[in-house]
Amino acid sequence: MTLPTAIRSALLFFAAQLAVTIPNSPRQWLWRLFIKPVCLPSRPLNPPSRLIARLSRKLGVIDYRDTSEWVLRLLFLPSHRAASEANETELAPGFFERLTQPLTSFVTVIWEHIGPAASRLIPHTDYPAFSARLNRWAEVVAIKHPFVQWVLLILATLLFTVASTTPMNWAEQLVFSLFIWWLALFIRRLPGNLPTLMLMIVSLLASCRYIWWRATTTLDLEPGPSLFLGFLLFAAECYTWLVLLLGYLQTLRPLNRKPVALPTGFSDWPTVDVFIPTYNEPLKVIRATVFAAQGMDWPQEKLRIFILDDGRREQFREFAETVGVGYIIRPDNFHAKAGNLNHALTKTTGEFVAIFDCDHIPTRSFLQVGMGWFLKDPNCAMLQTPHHFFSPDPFERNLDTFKRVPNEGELFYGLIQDGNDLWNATFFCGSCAIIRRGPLEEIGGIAIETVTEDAHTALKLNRRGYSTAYLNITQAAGLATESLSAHIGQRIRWARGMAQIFRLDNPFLGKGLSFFQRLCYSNSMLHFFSGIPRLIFLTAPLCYLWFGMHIINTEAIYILIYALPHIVLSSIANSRNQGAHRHSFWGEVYESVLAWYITLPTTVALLNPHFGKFNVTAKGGLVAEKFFDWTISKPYILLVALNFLGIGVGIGRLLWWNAYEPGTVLLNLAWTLFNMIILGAAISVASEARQVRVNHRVAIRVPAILQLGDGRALHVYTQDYSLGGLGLALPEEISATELAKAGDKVWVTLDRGDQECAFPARVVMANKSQLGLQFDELSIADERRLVQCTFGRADAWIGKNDGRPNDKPLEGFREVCSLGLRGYLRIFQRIRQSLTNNLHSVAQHIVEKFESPASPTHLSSKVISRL
Amino acid sequence: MFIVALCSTCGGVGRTTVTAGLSSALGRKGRRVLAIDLDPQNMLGLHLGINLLSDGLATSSGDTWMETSWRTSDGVDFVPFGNPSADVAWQLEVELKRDPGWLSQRLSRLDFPDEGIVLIDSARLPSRWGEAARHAADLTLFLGHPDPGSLGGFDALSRGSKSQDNIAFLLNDVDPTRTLHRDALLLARNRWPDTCLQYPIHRDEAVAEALAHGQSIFDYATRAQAAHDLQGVATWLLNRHSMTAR
Ligand SMILES: Nc1ncnc2c1ncn2[C@@H]1O[C@H](COP(=O)(O)OP(=O)(O)O)[C@@H](O)[C@H]1O
Ligand SMILES: [Mg+2]
Repeated sequence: MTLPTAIRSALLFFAAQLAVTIPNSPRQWLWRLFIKPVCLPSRPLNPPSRLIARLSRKLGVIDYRDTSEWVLRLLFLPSHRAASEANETELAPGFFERLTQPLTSFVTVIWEHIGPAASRLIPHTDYPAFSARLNRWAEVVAIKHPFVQWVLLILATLLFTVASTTPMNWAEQLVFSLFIWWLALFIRRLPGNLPTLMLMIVSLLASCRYIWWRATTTLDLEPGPSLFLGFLLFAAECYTWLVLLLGYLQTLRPLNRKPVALPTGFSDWPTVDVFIPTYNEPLKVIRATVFAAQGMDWPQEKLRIFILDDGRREQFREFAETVGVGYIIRPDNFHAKAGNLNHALTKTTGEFVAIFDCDHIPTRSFLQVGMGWFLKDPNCAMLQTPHHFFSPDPFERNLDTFKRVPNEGELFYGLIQDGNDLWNATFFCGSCAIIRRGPLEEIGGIAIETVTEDAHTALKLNRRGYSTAYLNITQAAGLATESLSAHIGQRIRWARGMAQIFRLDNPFLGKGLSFFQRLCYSNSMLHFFSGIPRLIFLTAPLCYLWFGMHIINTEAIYILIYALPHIVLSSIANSRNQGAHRHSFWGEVYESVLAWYITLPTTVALLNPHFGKFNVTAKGGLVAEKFFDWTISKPYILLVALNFLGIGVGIGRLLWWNAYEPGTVLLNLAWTLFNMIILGAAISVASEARQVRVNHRVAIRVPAILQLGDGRALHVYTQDYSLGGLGLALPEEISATELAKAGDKVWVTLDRGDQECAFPARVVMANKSQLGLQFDELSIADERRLVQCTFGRADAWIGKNDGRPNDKPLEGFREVCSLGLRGYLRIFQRIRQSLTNNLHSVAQHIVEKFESPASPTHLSSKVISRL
Repeated sequence: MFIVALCSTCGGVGRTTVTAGLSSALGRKGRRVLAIDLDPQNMLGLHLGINLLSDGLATSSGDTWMETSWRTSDGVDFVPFGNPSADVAWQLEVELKRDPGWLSQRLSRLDFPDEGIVLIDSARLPSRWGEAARHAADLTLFLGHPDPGSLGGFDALSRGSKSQDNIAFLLNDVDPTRTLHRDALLLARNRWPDTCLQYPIHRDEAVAEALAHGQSIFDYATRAQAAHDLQGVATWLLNRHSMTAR
């Protein structure tokens, strides 16, 4: 029987379209239809049209076929990589502008009209002069009229109390808020320390008013779940209020200690033991640290370096012997790193110990910069320097914010430690620090009771009356944790350890500490209890949206005019106070990612501080494939789903069920939306970007000599370096391709300050004005010199934050918003991808079963299990 | 007028090359520069891009020597040694023996601005020419190779000089890939921290290539390491000059 010709030709047409070569084979039809549509493999071969190619380059769209990427780049998130390349592309001017105009013009219109109008309301004066005058008054009063100062202080306190507790109706509160907002905007323009303080006070006024109002008028709740949940929310808010207050106190006046010069004669310089503890890190990681330590400027007979190998590896012993450093092992691994260090203390005798985690490479000036304070202040027992990471941490890598947005740790090392230092409450952070042996032995060595032995050790030293110091000069650098899960793991350890100290050696109890030391320690610990409050904030509006519970007993308008000043003013004050070290709204993102994971460990540690054991953060690994860490983001996806449903229900409430109170619904919807944004940002962190280099390249510009095979020597600058190779930036007029080609043998010479060091290398990449070099097999001596010429340079980390944009609260908000959107786009992409994958595999099964004689029941059960 | 003599105790260490390079560098910075060749080899002209010069310092009598000068494209005034007959050269040497201040006097009668710099390329020491250059100079820059011979010479010089203020050591032709050179540089830097320039001139094929092309190294290979080093020495000289002026 033959088919009618029309059908036949139609079939043939489709077969041709689908590239079915044998129209009689059902297998091929199915294959083409479901598994490998012919258009898929051919798409990448299709070159994009010139316009599209240019546009995608300009916008930073990597895969031009991906619609969501276009949406993302066009509307929300201009790629920063693209921005730097933008001047190279010769796109018709104004094209991109015309494309995005609707969006940008809207924003500009708002800014152009509202911005100047608002700033016209703020008095214009010579702000620096005004600030200087303020300062002078304050000084005159403080020095010449101490009595007046006290009277003023008491009056101010009274006024503050009255102002923060007086009940007002909504109009009065509105006027009051507008007034202090206006005041803050004015103060914000004044430079200097005193205005920062004033901003903090204004912000506290708004926050105290808020908390007082919450406590006195909004807690009159219906008994039952809404009472319980309402108090829970209020407790969480009290926690944030307390942390805000303590945070202001802690960073009231950062000490910004400067290094003290050492005596000129070497004879007064003390002996130092350098401890490099290691457990399971590869030898590759520790080599650089050891070499850099050997290059530290210190009298050789007074400097001893030890590898403390808890892994007891033969390879490490051999290495230590070859390079000439000490090697210490112990029979057990009790108390992990703390135990390791304590064991080494018994085997060594130096007056001081300098401790470096095995991946923290010190600069040559470390000891000379840090040791001065110990000689000046005999009571000083510990000096900490910042931890700096030259590779992006998971946040920076996955969000593409490296060198643009201060990372999570920077607030601590940039500001909080300096603030602690004023109150003599600097704490030890486990690495990049110097400790005086005497006091350390007096407190029984490094503390072993908790998993954060470092902070606890400093606490014990402070309790004994010793002082601790912080020197905010980066004198060592290391690799950041590689993956998000490792990063979270590390933070979990810190959180648990801090909770343990809180239980076992609470800084508010016991003797030996000043009031402010207690405050500083407590705040640092309190910080790690942010998990539960954060989860409460992320779910609180759902109580209303889902169940219609009122957990704040008041009208929406009141919440708005009390809460907004509290939020806005604390953002303004924090942006001023810590903007250089933490951009606005990023704290929310960092905290939210950790919230879920630190909640349980901190709670458990609070209940039973002896539960659980120490874990080491893996370093030097590599994320080989771009992937989405589903496991980590699961709780957040759940929260997103809950919030998403909440928004759906909320819209229903707005239109039908609760149409009589639209304000409340809208407020809860807005809050949920904000939560969704933060959650989206948290989720986008979980999308691990691929890492390609094994040796992290550090961008740095130092002069170098490039010697070519023909005897020519060129004066060039490095672009970046790693322990495996070097990138050179050639001057414009020299073309790299004419100079050398891949495989050429060259020498490159770096100056160590006192000595020139030449390294044999091979060209691996020559392109325009860049030359990529890979070092040949280096001898131990050469490898040591290389470390000392690069990571160990005294100036290696100076200006590490140069060129980073300043914080602007609205800009921070915009950025967090776009990250949130990106998170959703990523989820959407992954879901689509896994759906298509699943569909394909289902189809493949069908095809296989068609061709094989298996029974149909067997087939369907398999398909179902796949689904 | 700041007079700098370039001397050495070994031959072929780059006196002429460095004199030419420094005068070009200073001329390009807009300084008045007078380069004088006081070496019977009469090679400085070649290095400055002017060839075959028979008239010069040695062939002119009295104060007519400035009439033999040339002006290079870098704005350097240059007086060649000239190509005197053997008798004339011999007489000049006798004259120098009688009066080591021969060159100083000629220079002192010169109408040359205070901020101008005179560079004298002389024959290797010990020689009458070298002594005459040293005698005239405010600063004698001793060139050496990063090898034991030159370092030994530096050592003798620094011991033999009453004051270290008017001498300086400069290593030329340093190849950092060679252990010996690296060690010599390290030693020189540490042994004479004030007398020895902390940055040497590196070995660079571009130096000879530029000469072969009859170009200044600053034109021939702007980014050559040797060009960079020469610039550095030129800047150092200017600083030194302003310090002595004060
Ligand atoms: N930095 C350098 N790199 C490479 N070659 C050099 C360098 N300095 C000098 N030379 C070469 O060394 C040789 C001797 O230099 P020259 O200036 O004539 O020495 P001198 O005047 O001391 O006898 C010349 O061929 C010159 O090109
Ligand atoms: Mg010569």
